[in-house]
Amino acid sequence: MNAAVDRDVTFVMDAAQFIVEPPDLWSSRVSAKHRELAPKVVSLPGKGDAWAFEGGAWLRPLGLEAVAGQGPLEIQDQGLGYADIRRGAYEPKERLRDMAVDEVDMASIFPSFGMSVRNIQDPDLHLACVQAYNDGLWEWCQSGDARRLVPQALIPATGVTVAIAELDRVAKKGYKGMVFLGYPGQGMDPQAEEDPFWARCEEAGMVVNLVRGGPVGPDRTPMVPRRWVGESAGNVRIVDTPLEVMWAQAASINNVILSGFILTGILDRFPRMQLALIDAGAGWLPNCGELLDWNFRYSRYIKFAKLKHMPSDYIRRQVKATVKGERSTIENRHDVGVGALMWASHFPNSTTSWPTSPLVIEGQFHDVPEDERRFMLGENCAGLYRVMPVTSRR
Amino acid sequence: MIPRVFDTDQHVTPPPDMWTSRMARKYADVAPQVIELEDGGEAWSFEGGTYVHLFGMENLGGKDPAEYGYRARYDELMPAFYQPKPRLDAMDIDGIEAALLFPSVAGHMTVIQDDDLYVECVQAYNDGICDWASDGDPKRMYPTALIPMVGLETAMAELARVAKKGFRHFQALLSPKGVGYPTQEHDPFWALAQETGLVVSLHGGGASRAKHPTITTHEKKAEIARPRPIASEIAIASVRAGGLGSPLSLGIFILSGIMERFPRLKFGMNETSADWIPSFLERLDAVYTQHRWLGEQQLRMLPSEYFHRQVKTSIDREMLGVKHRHQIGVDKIMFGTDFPHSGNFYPHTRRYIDLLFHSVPDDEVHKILWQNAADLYGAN
Repeated sequence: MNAAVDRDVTFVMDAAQFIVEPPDLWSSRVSAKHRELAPKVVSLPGKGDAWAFEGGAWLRPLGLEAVAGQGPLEIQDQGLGYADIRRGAYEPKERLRDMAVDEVDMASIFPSFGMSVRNIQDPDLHLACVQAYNDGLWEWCQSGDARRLVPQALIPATGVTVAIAELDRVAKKGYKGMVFLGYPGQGMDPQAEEDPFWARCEEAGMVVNLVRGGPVGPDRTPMVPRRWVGESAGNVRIVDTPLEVMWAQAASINNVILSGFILTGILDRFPRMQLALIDAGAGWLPNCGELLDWNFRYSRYIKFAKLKHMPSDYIRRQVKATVKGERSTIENRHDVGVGALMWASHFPNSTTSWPTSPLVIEGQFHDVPEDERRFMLGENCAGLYRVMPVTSRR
Repeated sequence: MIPRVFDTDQHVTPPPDMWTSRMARKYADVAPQVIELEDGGEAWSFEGGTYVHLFGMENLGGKDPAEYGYRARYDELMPAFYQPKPRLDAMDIDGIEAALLFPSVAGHMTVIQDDDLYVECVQAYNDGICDWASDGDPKRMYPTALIPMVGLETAMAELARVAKKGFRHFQALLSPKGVGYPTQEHDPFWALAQETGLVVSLHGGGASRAKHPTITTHEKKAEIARPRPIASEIAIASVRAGGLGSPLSLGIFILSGIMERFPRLKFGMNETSADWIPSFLERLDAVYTQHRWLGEQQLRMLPSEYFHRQVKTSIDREMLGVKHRHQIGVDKIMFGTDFPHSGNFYPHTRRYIDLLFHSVPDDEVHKILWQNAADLYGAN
């Protein structure tokens, strides 16, 4: 018997894990007419596997999404095959085993390559791929442990009617949260015509997740490094962003979508709707709140929606955010809100704390009272997505 | 104790003849100039009307928020917004001893498409703002030099010229070429900056020449009657709320190795706020440490250590930056008012300072309000 069994165990729900999509996730689900252009895995000679989008117009090699457990000297951003990565990245039963090692009871599951469905331009194909993803992820979680793996659905950003239909479909399946891929009306900012969509989100209790703060702007053209542009012609923008800039972007603060939800009054009109910032940092939220209050106070007469409260009130009432290893955020937890913070491991991508999460948690939360710790380590997350906490180790 | 105040975030609305009085006759039509609008307001016209900029929101010190708007006329503005002696009076009224003078209208010169015209305009501005501060009080006014972004040699020539003129700082730029990110090709520029001792001021982030549609305040002439789309207002509010430009530029300046290769180069962050810094640096350290071997060169220190060695940031309007000052670093924080832009405290800055610092020991107040900025920008 392991001594840990007798320990008083704090329930841990990981607020940000990612599925590395199984190779047949789309090909086994889309109809025959979309099979050619739906995302599929291709082998690059001597360079491992890559996901090919829109019939190979652009590629995303298997890399940093799937290197859990590797140190800085080993990790690769390309050249990996599915055979080289942890099976827990793409097999649900294996995922549960990896979670047990890391002393994580439950996890909220976000897309890795599924995020790129946003960049598929053809609306039929786009919707077909969104639906296949939502069906596939749902089944993936069911075949693992439906109580412990909590999936997050994609919602197409190709029109309000389509978005509402897919929202209703996934809500009926049992999804509790959605990934924001852009305003459903496809604009730069929220439109009044989209209110029925937000009303449905509120009514269905569907959490709106802003991964890395959410994509900014309606342009869905894929931005691809030159070396990953495929041979078949496609509508892509070639960008060769230096690695250093990409790292700075990853650590940076994206508060644009959040500000849009507040300043155009969405959170005011739909007071029970909940937003979650996933892998976007959390320490900046109170600062953002006081500065938005400031801007709102003098600009409300000419610019923004009429609001019943100050912008920071909506942040406190309707926004949660994940926190990983940022100690300063835990020190400032009473400013951010103990009820707003959700611990996350980011398994299995390159920034994950796996398999040392218990140590990271101890280091980060060692001086935090047990009741506050419980909220941030799991109960906030379970409450947000309205799932029953299941402590696997008791 | 009545604290000395160094305001690291003031702006100058250019006098109407800022460019036209300094540029050669052949530029008479295309130099930045004030035009009359049909509604009786005035606007700044760039490159012969290719871009027209409404400057109302930049001139709001002491105004009733219910009267805020984009419309403006010079004869309705407080003279302190655009004239040096009245500015000194306003500083006295508000208890400000010294101030950095950032551009407002002039910051939009980056939209000028013709390279030669753009460079001429930048030079005329640097001459003009230098004269402006000299006409006021050069011991109390520290104008920001702008560096033209059309190529390395032009940038270095102007940097050398403004250093000689006595400027103490210049507006940060991501690349002397105007587009793209820092590379080692630009090192001669940063070497010169280090040698001259000029401070790199990141006012809201690093500038670039490429037009950035989400934060532009320019409207095509035919469309000036139309209010700005809400999307750009949200973007502006987001930037002013500590997002996007400032953290990203800071991260790029650190990770590109500029601070490592030029350890005596100093950076000031203006109107960026400060409370986001600790968690941002933790995230930057974590991303860098995990991925560093993928890059071609490694830094010798953690990203956060470069910040602590070479950067100071500032607060304009936040309680939390003061509350968490020990986490950020009491030696790292400066103070700014953003006069005369929307939302500044004029003429009540003293009262605001009292509230902001009511429980802070005098020596710490002195550092934040005066000493940190005076050390960085070289005031006596």
